[in-house]
Amino acid sequence: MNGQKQTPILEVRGLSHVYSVGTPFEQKALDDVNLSVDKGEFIAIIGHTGSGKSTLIQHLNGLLRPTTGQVLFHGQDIFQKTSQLRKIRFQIGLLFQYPEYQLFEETVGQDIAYGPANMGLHNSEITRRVSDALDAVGLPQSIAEKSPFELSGGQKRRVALAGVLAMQPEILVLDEPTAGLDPAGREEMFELIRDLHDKRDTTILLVTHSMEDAARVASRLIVMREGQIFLTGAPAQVFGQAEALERAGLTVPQVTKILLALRARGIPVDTRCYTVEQAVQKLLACREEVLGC
Amino acid sequence: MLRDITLGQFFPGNTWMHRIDPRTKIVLVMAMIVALFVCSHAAAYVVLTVYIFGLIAISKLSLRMVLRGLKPLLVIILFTAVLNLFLTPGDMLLWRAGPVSITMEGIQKAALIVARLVLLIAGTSLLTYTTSPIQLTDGLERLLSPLKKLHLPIHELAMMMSLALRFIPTLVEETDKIMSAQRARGADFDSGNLLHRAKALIPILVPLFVSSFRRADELATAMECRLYRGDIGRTRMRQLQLGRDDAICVIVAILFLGGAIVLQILT
Repeated sequence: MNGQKQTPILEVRGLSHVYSVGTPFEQKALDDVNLSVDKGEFIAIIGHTGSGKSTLIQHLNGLLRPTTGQVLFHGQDIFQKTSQLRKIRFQIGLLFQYPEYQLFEETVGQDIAYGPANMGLHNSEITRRVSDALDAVGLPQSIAEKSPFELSGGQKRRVALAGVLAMQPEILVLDEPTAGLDPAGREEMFELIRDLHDKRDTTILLVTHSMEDAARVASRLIVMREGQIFLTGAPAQVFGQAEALERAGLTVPQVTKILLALRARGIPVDTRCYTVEQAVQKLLACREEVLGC
Repeated sequence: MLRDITLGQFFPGNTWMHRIDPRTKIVLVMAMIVALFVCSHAAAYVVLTVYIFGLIAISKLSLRMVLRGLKPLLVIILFTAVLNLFLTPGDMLLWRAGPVSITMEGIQKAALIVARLVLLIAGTSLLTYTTSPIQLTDGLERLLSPLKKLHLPIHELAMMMSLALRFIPTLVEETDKIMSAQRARGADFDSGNLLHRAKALIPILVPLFVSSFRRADELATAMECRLYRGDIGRTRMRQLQLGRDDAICVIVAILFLGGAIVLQILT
């Protein structure tokens, strides 16, 4: 991130995936995707439904096998030894969309313990990780004794996230973690994810279809379209190409849209920004410039 | 993996076969089954084979897809064929070892069984491959509607069937998703002894049950919101209508199936 070259923690090389090969439903979901993730990065993967984001992330921990191409974790091909795949999954935590539907145990504590128990950890370590994970997602310890089916939707989702965090993965891959939450719930979830990144130094890949969300939290964006990486770069770089994005049927954040419209009407404002705070700055700067001369 | 199940699946298309009234197709499939069981002579089977594979060709179904549908039943086909081959008593003895023997009759019977089962599966899957589940249940409901006079809940049964069919892909998808989610937490479904494997299914079955009940509940509410109240005064968006194509289809079927039965009786 600071220009210093390090070996990427996760790398995807020439990845393609075709579903239902040899049937009338054959469909190419990924087409020659290349990607590398450095330790400590916060990446957002953006794209329409069907752009291949979900297929891509299921390759990252070996749930799907690539039709062609490789996935490297610390430089090692994860598909080289099938027996090692399970161990890889403990290090690359994947949280699916609507993860609350995967809860199954009698108590919240037992459900969170499922991953660590699969890792073969000692009971004392499991207990420690469960309480640690509850802390990390901001739930009280007392909730561990409750049934997951008694909780509210937002709480269930946190429990599901805690279930992945309890494995203490190096990389956390989140598929639309805020889908279906109310605005307050979304805000809290983002706060939580940002904390995981900032305070616990977890590398995060966030899948979303919201440009706003992506722009707010991520340090790098990957825009996917029709199974390929369409654009990639820092938020400012990606949203600087608003026309290309719009041509691809993707929208830029609302504020960027407003600035673009202003510019189209002849107001010389800098449009390379994507949050309300930045927009205020740019507009003030623009006013100074215009009134100054 | 789960999504590759083909038996009983519908392949959308717009061929002549796809447009035939489902009632015609259901009746003709039943006629075909009768013909397959009535006939046992080679000549009759040649006619039936030409008929069924001709229809598959018209429907533009790839032969590979149809043969793939046979795969789940391959064991049963082979099993019955082998039993018939070795255990049929007869006059023309070809080979013998203890109680097991191969006779000419045995070979004929085994060949007949294989041909009968393959044609049976190919022919019936032709119906499900070219008819959408909705059309299929519509057709069934109309065919069985005379039984409503006996106060049998035909409409309700048809509705239950179409709902069940409708939710099979959804459930398969859901199962796939939950399995992936639990695998991501280190679940291991493919190793260990039987008890271990059965236990490994709990993390899939519990969420699947919960979501099935939730979905059923939501569906019932949604149907009631749209004033569904069973068969009373219910009209249809798509009226089934027999046309010229159905007549042609029936005539062709009579020629082939009738021809096969006539051949069977004459020889």
